[in-house]
Amino acid sequence: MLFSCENISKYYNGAAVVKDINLNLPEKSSVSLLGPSGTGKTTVFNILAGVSVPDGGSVRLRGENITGKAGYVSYMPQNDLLMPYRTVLDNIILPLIIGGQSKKEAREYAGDFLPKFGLADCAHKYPRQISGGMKQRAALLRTFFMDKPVILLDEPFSALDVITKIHMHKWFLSIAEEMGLSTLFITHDIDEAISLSDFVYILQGSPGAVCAGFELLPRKSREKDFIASAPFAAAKKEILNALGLGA
Amino acid sequence: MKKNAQSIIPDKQRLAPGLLIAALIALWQLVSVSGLVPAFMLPSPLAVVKALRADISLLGRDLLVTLSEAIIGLVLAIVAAFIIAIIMDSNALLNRAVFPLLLFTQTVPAIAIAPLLVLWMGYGIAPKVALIFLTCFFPVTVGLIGAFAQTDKEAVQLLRSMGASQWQIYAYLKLPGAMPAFFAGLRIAASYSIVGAVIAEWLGGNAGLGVYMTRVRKSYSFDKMFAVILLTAALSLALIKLVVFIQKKSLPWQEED
Repeated sequence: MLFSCENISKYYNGAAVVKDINLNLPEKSSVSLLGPSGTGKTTVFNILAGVSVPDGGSVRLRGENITGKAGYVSYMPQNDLLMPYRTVLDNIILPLIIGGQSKKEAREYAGDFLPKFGLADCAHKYPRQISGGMKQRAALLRTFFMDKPVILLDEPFSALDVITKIHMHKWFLSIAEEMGLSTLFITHDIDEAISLSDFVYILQGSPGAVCAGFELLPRKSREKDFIASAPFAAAKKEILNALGLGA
Repeated sequence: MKKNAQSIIPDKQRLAPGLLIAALIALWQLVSVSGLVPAFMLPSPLAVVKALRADISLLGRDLLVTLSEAIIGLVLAIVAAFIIAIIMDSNALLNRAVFPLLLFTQTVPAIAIAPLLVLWMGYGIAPKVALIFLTCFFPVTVGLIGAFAQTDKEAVQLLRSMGASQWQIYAYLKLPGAMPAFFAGLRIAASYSIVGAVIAEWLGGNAGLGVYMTRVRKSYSFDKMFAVILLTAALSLALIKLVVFIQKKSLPWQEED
């Protein structure tokens, strides 16, 4: 297994926030952790990213124990964290610069990726001058440049309107395919989880616990308008049932 | 954005401050000419302008002296502010220990320590620069410390995950993020600097606007007194404008308001 966590638990002031979370992310797959607000999604995210230490359990990357250690996975927090004083391009290349590349080198390297991310025209603008969708794409490109084997995304598209979101999903799927990404999503959006993932974990309750997992139709065998298809509706129905929202 | 905002403000409103000042000057002229107040006590605006023109070469030299003292004091204050703020930010214990002392330096009135500084350092430029330094470094330091403390913790974590060193976190996150607060502090410091220079010059020296002020006061030249006061105010204003100009040029990303 590329990336996994076993029996993750976290307590705040003596009360459990999440309990016994087990997740698996195979190589080049896309997995979602789906759940309503208040079930500890971001708590799990921070633990997986290594910026928070769990009170129990372990996080593993290719079997190696990386619990509580930052710097092993690429991640993008809910807030895009683009720096207002850096241009879009200079925000994107930050991981490369910190990694020791020269500014010129990094800019040239990143320049080749800008068109694919729809950012060619705004490379030299400041974050406040671009749209929400562009900000998310810029933050995503910065995340890719962290260049770790796993990408964690915490509700990356939740600030976008539904139509822009569908565009972004399609775009993301093509990028993920092309770049062979292994991605773990945190989301509260059922449609998003189904659209983007091969496997969906459902997080429920307080303390948050994984109550179900669903294998979805592989991304390769999906039709173009998958989100309006019968397999999509069937998956959504199962998930709604698992969330206690079924008929 | 600024253009839009400005075009919304009617011309009437933009003219208002200028008109009010013009009206007040006219009133002042009227009061002096009418003889309500003796001319030697309240010289007319015209007399002040005349005095300013008559002494312009002398005042120009004094202005340069005061300005150079202010700039030297400010630059030293800025350098010290960055060093102190970074040290205090990176060490919580030191922060707790030093902050009350910082605050204390600000509760001592400049006018009270100025004579001491002159006694210690003589009549040269040193006590002036020292007083300016003491009054100016505080607003800049406090601005920087506050901004450092407000740095987004998630952003720090993200940079750490990218492998950033402590130094890189300052270079890419804390320092650029603190620039608006730095300039806000610097604007205040800039206005303090001229006042500080003048106060220090009152107590002795060979040149400077404060020295000139003391001299004309002793000879009851009220017109010259007013002239130098105007010049001092103009100098403070010019220095603040310069800081604002530098801020706009060096922080192009800032939203104009």
